[in-house]
Amino acid sequence: MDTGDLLYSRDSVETPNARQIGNLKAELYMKAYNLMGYDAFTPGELDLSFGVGDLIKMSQQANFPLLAANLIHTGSMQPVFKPYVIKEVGGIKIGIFGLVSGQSSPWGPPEEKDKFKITDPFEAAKNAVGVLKRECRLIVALAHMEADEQKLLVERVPGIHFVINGHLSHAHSTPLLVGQSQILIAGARGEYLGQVDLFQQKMKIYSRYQLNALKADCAEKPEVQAWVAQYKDRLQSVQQPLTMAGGPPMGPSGSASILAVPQLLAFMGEKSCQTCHPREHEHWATTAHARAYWTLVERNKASDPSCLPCHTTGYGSFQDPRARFENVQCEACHGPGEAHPNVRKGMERAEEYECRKCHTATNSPSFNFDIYVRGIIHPR
Amino acid sequence: MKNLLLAILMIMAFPPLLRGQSPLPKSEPDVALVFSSTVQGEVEPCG
Repeated sequence: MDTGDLLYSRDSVETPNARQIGNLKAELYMKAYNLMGYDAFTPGELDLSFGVGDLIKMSQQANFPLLAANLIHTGSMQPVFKPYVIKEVGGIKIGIFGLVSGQSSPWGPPEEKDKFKITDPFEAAKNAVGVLKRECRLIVALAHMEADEQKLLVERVPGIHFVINGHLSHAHSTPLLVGQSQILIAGARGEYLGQVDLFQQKMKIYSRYQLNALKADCAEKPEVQAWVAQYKDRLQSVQQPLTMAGGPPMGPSGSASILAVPQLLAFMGEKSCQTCHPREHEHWATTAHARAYWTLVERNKASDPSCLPCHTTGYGSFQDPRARFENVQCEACHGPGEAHPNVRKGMERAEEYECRKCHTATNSPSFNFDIYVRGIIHPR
Repeated sequence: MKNLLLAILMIMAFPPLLRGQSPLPKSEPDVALVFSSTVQGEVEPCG
């Protein structure tokens, strides 16, 4: 089972060809999930990034049902996807239903604006549990929800044995117990698989929970490797060439491209910063940040939209969606500098949480803020 | 009263095996629920 934010990513929605690229990646994930034999999937708000219509089309490629009891057609008031599914495994009937957070709303193209809506998840859950408890011994909610919502869910809707959470990024090694219910959180980025083992003895069912870390030494399936290679080829054919300003201290340089969005602050690029801050720039040029984009080029990943946000400056940014400067430049840490020269106001200093958006446990396992920050602090 | 005493006697003689205690786990579970979440991210490590 999967609890969403799987198929699409919001980061690159505003970038050129984003929808086409998003669907390429979604197709790859669908094929892999079919191969793994998934039984159910509940979408998260990121899976609605390009609209419910795209998700419906993508669901036709899945060998498993998409579940969402509270995502409905506004006109007919009917659910867009199945609200629940019943599986019988090991002699135990298990009812699985899906919920999308009531705090999210379907994004997507304007023509979809009034076609779909997300209804109260608690009411939808009561209805689903009411049906499922008639014939199922176990009830599982695939809940793509905020932490406070999922606690309210089990408090307001009795009878749910397991709430499998999507959305929350920090994995919990033990279940969160709320009354008779267990809330299970396997974290983000596919770093873990959550596993509930169920043991039947006499008339009772006991559970044991574990998180399984998915490490780089997990064997690759040859067919998945072939699909990934195919995905990368197709990605290169649809990804528009990136026009960037700046560039590495040594190596090819892109053409200048400062495409500011009105009313929002634009990224100016490191050459602008260098004009008034040559010493700081000189130091930056010696750091790994100044070569970040070129590590992608060397690994043939410079077309991958999921890699670009951490290896460029401004790519996919809400402030300046069309900005894209090679490498992790001054403004990646300090913010867009458009207004800075005029107001002569000091730029923001990067906080640890900003660094951790890219220096994740997977990408940067030895990251220690106090140590790493010494490498980038520049003279004033 | 007699029934109540009989019930108490039965509980003492045959304590409920599974009341609030974990059983010895079998080697293999009858069912395993396996799940992932929020997988979106890079398809391969970026470098």
